[in-house]
Amino acid sequence: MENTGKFQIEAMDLENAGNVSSFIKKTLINKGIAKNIIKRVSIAVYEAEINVVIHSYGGWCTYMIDDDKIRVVFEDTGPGIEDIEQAIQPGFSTANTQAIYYGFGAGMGLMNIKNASDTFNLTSSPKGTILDIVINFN
Amino acid sequence: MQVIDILEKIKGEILTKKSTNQTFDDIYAGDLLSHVMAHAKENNLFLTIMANMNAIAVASLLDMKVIVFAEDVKPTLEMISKADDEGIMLITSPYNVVEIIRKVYEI
Repeated sequence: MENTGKFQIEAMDLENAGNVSSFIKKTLINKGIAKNIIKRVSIAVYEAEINVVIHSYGGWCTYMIDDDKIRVVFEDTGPGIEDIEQAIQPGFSTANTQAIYYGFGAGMGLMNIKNASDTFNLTSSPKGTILDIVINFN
Repeated sequence: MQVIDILEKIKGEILTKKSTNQTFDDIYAGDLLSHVMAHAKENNLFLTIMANMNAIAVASLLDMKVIVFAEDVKPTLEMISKADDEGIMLITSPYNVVEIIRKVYEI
């Protein structure tokens, strides 16, 4: 298994959302990483993947695994998060009707990612958002 | 609990290939997938009306092996095929979420 990889994530491609998190989960299972860690990675990566799908113009996910941690970086091409502090608040959502139809828009995504991660860095401008998270294996 | 023990009670129809010797620990009921991601546990029976690919993805990521769709909600053939690939059993029931919980726990 590769220790690093990059995936393209299409905007509003709700049917394929989850493919990146599923791939990363399987990679970590093959590496024998502990179940509780895999669950945290799965939650964080899935939520972040969904955010790129439902809120952005599309973007990329890059993951890097080393002996003691996984780092996952999500970048998109906009339109950016207006107020990051507000966006992190549980219950705050700007999801559109189609996303809600698919079961998203609870306003829990960023908080779920933050809670599941050991480091959480989110920066945003109208040109794009970068989410950089690390989950330690120990 | 065993799926075979609740199937008749909830008038459940199994839509995937998986046999009835599947087991589960407790039920997690919900439709908003971020809540499911945050709170459902491994081996829960996932009870929902949210029939789309994302429900399968969430069940797979959390290692939930059984999804019951309430109120006669039917997944697509694509979802059934994906669930078979992931080893997840899909069941549809005519009852609503509360009725299903009552029938499973006999309350």
